[in-house]
Amino acid sequence: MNDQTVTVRRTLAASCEEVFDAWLDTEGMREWMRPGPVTDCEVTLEPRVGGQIRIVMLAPGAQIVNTGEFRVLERPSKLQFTWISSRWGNRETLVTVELHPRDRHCELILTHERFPMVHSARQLELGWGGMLDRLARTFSIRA
Amino acid sequence: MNRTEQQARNLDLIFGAVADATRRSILDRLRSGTLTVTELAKPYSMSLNAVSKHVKALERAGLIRRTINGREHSCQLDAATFDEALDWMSHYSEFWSDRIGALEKHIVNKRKRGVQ
Repeated sequence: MNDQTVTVRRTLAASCEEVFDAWLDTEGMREWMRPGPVTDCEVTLEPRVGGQIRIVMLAPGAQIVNTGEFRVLERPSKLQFTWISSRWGNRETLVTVELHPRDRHCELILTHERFPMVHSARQLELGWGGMLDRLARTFSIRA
Repeated sequence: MNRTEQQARNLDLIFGAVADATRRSILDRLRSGTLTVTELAKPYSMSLNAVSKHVKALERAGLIRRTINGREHSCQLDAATFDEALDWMSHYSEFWSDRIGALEKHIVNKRKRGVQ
């Protein structure tokens, strides 16, 4: 049951191989895995299924530690990894990146799923049906 | 009742409450603000009493709160869990959208530098 899902779609002027490889390129990720206030980013990856991911984002006065594990690595069509962020209480979430060739371009569909926590009554309440699903769809971005 | 039993009971109440189309529709309409039971009842072809029963089921599940002011019963969503979920989704839709934009830029720059 995944009531909270963010989906981002974008067609990129690149081949699916280039896009796939960029997700495993630690030097490159230091450039593009750097949101707004983040001044530097440390990336370590073990590019294999079961391999660990660690992305530390450094912002003035703050540090966000994101960790995870690769679940699927199918070049050039699919990557899946868990994502645990100190920004959101270190809860395990799941990111799936699907790549489809589209007329010499690459369509990227990223899905980020969050799961209700079984042990928290508060989180149980998040499992209440289609409402959040619809909200999630509102947040789907098509470009 | 121990903690786990209480949680299982809450879950039953919540799923029972959202299993009904009218109750889902009530939740949806409360997203835009507080409504009285009378206002809530308007669009449905059922008695005020029947709507009131649906409201009670949602209230028992902790999905909405009712405040009574004289004869007026006002209903609102219990927004705490809802807001937190909304924050998370809006944060990550922006985060991933920006990161993918930066990823494309990175690939284009890399090509320009001739590093394929």
